[in-house]
Amino acid sequence: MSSLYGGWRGRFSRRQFLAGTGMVGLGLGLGLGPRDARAGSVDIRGQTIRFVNYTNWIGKGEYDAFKAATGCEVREVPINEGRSERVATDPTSTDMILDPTGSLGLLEAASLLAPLNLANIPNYALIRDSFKQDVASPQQSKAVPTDYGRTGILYRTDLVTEPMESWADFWKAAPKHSGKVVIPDGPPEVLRNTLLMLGLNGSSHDEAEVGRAADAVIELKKYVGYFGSVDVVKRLLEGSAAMAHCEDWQGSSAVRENPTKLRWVDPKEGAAGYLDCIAAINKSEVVPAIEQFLNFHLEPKIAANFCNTLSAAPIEQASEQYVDATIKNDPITNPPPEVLNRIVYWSYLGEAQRYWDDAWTRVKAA
Amino acid sequence: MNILGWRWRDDWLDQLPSFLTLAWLSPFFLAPLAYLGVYAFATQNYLTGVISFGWTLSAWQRIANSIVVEAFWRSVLAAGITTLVTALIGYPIAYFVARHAGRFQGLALVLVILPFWVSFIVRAYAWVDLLAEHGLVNRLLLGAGLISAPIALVHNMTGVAIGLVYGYLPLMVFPLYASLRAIDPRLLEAARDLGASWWTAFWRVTFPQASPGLVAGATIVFIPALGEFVIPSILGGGKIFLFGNLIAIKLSRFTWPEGAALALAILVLALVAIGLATGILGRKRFGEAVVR
Repeated sequence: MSSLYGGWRGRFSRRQFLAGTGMVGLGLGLGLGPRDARAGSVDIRGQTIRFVNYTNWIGKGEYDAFKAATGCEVREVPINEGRSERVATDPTSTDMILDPTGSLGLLEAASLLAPLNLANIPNYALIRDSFKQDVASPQQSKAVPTDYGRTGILYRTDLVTEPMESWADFWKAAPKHSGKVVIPDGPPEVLRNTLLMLGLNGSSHDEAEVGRAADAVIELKKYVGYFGSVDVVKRLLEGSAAMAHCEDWQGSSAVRENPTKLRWVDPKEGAAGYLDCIAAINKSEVVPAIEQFLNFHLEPKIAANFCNTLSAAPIEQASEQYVDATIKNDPITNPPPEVLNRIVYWSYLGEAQRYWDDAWTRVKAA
Repeated sequence: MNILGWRWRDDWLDQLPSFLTLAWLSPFFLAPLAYLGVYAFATQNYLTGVISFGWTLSAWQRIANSIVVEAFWRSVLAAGITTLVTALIGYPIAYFVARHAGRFQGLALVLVILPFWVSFIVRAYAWVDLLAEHGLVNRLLLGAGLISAPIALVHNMTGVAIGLVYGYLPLMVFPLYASLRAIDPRLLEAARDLGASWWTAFWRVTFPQASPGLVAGATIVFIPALGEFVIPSILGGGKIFLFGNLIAIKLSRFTWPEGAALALAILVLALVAIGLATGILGRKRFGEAVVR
């Protein structure tokens, strides 16, 4: 389903990028040693949390630090594609999952998410209110946000001289740069941004609206040179691509690489984004341990270590002081509120998911 | 061993190895196929993924649309071109190795199979770099003055065709080589002694004798190429949509019965292709060419 096309590709590539440039975080040398992470009174020593996650999508040394603090082991089960779908078909195989809200909605619809006792996660209060939404809202309290990202436009200023401030501009400029246009191979990003360009709801449940968006992408496809997320920055730097619809981390690394020739744009219509969260599966027997882990993860220094390891923007103000200046001061990675407010997070579509999937198949087959 | 040319004999001991082989292969080959068949007639909840087994045609009804038909014919075209081009390239290679490589025959065969020692995905990505706008191929063509500007060799059908031909060429070369190698050279000598030109000897003696290898090669290239999805995904830049890509999409969502139905449909078509090949050659000759 949709998560297969979603952020994982981008974040998988981001991990490769991080490995390539050596931009790993500072680790737990920041004083994240053993501590009393137990928010509740439950003794969780000797317990094990099976954690379905992207490969190593966690702060450096965080699992070890948690074990040292509580005696509870977190055993990562790396799945980079279709995590929620896999858990939905075998819910007893895991205790905890990290996935965007749009995917976790699938588990929530199948009544597979455990309610979290926020009294046991006092650090939840540190999270900015704007991220407390969907299954991660205090009302639903089925998940805790960890990180977020968004899409936008990245282009070569020397090759694309037309105005480029919106998705409409992107569509308008595409014919002139035929063959040098890049868009990701994923409906959550592409169809949502197309819906936004058309002035429609970015999470539309209307089959006709989704169909209109698909038609617009099919029109754009004539000029697309590459459908995907691999080597987007490289393509732009060498000039085999002139403009790309891509993720913020790609924009950040590209502009850092060549600030004179490359420009990142947050389109004025808004942009598709994802909000990663961690949730507990209700078949799990270690939900209290999961709550302790979540509280531990939200400790400002631990949360900052997560950001520094993964070059992710902080989601809580208290951790900002520990986040590397290169991340904190980068407006692409850590955008201002006016940009944050325009992000349309991926939400669960329910039955409408089929319209989206069928529309995307039509785009691919066109 | 001659599996496809198998016939019952009174002496069951002769057939024992075949029975043992079938008994060993069945769990690994037939069971997944049976599983596929069961899924193709099941239904799946699109939201939760829960499968309800039963004998319904709903998956087949959902795949009866123009997207499937177009993807199928596109795949037939791609697989057909691949088969033709691999035959055109593979025949001279196999001929040279079988007839003229002499003591270097073993080395030549190793060179044919050498690329198989590296992961196919790695090789596909290597081709992306080689065929890119600023890649080696374009630079060589520019350097040689054959083109004045880089040409689009990748992320289109050209790239997919190059990848398919490259990937499947060894599967054409080996059956052809086996057939050509088996031809008695004295037949050619006799033809030449009787006044046949090189071309006449080739066309009237070599080609008919090697035709089982050609048909076998064509079959084992065409069938997997028909369901190919890695090459179009990588070298097609996500823009070339073949039947295999459609199956992959169906299996990556909670539409597994549709994916299974598509896979089953292509399997049946592959069996038809084998049937045609065996019809052309006769079961025994085809079987010999495949397993030789």
